[in-house]
Amino acid sequence: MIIGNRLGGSLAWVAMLMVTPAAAQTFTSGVEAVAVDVLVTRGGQPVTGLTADDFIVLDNGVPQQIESVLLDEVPITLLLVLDTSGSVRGAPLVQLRAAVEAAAEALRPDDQVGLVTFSHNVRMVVEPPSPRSSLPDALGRLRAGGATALYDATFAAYALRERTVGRTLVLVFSDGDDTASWIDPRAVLDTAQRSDVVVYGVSLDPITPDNRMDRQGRMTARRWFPTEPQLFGREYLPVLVEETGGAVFVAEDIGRLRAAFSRVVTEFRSRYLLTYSPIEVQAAGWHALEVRVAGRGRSVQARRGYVR
Amino acid sequence: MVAALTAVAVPFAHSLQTDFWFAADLAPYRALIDAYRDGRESEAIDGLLAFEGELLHQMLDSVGDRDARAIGSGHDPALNELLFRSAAMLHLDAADDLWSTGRADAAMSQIEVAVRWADLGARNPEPDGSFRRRWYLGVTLLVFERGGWWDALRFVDRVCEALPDDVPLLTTAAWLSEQVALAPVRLGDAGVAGVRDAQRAKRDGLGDAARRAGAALAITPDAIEAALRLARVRMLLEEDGEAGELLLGLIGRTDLPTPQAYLARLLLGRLAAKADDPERAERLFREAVDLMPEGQAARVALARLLDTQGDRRGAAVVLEPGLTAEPGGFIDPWVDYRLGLGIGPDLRGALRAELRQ
Repeated sequence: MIIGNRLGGSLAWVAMLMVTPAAAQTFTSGVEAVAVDVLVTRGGQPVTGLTADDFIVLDNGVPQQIESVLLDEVPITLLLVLDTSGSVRGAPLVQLRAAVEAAAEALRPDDQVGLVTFSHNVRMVVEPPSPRSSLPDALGRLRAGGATALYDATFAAYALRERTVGRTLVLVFSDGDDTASWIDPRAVLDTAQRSDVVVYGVSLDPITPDNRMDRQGRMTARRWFPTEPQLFGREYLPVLVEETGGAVFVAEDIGRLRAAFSRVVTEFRSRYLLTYSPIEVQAAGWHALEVRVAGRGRSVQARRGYVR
Repeated sequence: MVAALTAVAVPFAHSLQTDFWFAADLAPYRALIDAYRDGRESEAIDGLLAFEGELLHQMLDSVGDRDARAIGSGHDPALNELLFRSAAMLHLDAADDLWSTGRADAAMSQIEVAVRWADLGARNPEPDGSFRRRWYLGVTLLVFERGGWWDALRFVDRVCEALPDDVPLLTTAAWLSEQVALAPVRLGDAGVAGVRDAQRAKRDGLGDAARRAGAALAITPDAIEAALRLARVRMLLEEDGEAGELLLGLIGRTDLPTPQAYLARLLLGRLAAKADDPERAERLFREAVDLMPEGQAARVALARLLDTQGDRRGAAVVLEPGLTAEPGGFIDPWVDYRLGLGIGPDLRGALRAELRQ
């Protein structure tokens, strides 16, 4: 396979992920390889044990030669991006601290962490990469208050990816709409399309008569978000995670945050990283990706494409 | 009638009109206002909330009617403006108290009474910087802080009708219209027609914002905040040429305070980036960073620009100092521009202090 020829096979690929900062994994220039982070599920449960032969990747509709690596053994950097605006004050902040502890417990000793908080200010509370043991002290210092700069904070997470090692998982928690960012949310989506970072979101979105939206409504909102972000601001997180191949977990009450955070880490570990060197596709511009998997009843979650 | 009133007024030769018209049956109400002026706010508010809303209006009617009959009579002693203002402020603080316990409707009822008190002291023309002008601004901001965008927008519409030449109010109205227009909405399954309606409403809101900011500039051509708001709204309406002219005019001024100079460069930089002039955008963003190194918006703007040019390392280098700096009490001018943080409480605090001098 092409990736094997260039990098010395899948083991070399894994080794590179383990020791090099993220900048070296950038496939947008120099190295031709493209990485696609993929989750395969059946009945809502991750499917493991798949090989390259089980996948088909279409890059702008053209089938590619792939090599799959199950990244269970590769350390990850968990970059937490947490809403600490005024609405999180009190009991929600206590639950949020507990949720972060749960995520940290799901990590392995050689995993790394980073912690970014945001109200109307975005703060790097724990610099990535740091050992997970650095989290408890930082959590004790968290205070809630102020407005919400969700877009700026997620953009900052992409910028901080330069510092991370291994695979990077960005976990964004927010309980409200952006009210204070400078950056346009479409700009963050554009940045996401030029990165291979997977973003998971956790939101508090209790179903009330005021915010109930049926499935059709949600689909409409997500379809229109890129052209009308001011109208559909609440769809920012769902749209962002769809772009990156992640998922949003809704903790319908604050007490379920722990489970949601823990699940994000566990699910991320079940993902595959497919790599290929594009053939017979134009080098520049938007590349739509389609990932298929063999086997009935299996569904695939992967980023929608990438920009070169 | 006038003669009779004059005759009755004689024993109070050194009294003010309102002292006279505050008849004995209103003494308990008057006592609450005095308590408030003396700094016994809780006592005054608790006492006030014991009154039925309708009764408050009736009492105010009796004061207002008597005032209206006396004004211009030639026997018109000066209004006790301090009393009117204190009553207006007391009802405002009572409204704030009600909001804090979740009684929004009761709070708005108090605001209605407060407005009547403030309007009793109206002047034609209303002097620049008068208590009433500043009070109305303080109320608008309180309604926003407590009731939200829509309540505040409805309220400021009324206020702008009453004081159509008030630059700070017009600018605040522009801010509210801008923010309401940009607030996310849930359209459910409204479909394409619903989206188009929402787009139209958004553009109308931005149009209102432009009209208000433009009116403020027409009255005071060198009004800095009005010019900034008009420029930003023009950008949102994709009228980039007009926006650019306004911003260049601002940047060329020598009296521009640093936060506004920072914002003008940010907005002009955004226009330059949109016009595919990254060098100019980068220069403007770097100038903004230099003006306020602790400003996060400028760092995000510059980092984003570098990121789009493929300089991811450069983006991180620009952004990180803003992420690690201790914020202290610093609030980015962009956040202040969007949210008006802190203005309302300070303004109302100053008004209260004025009443107690």
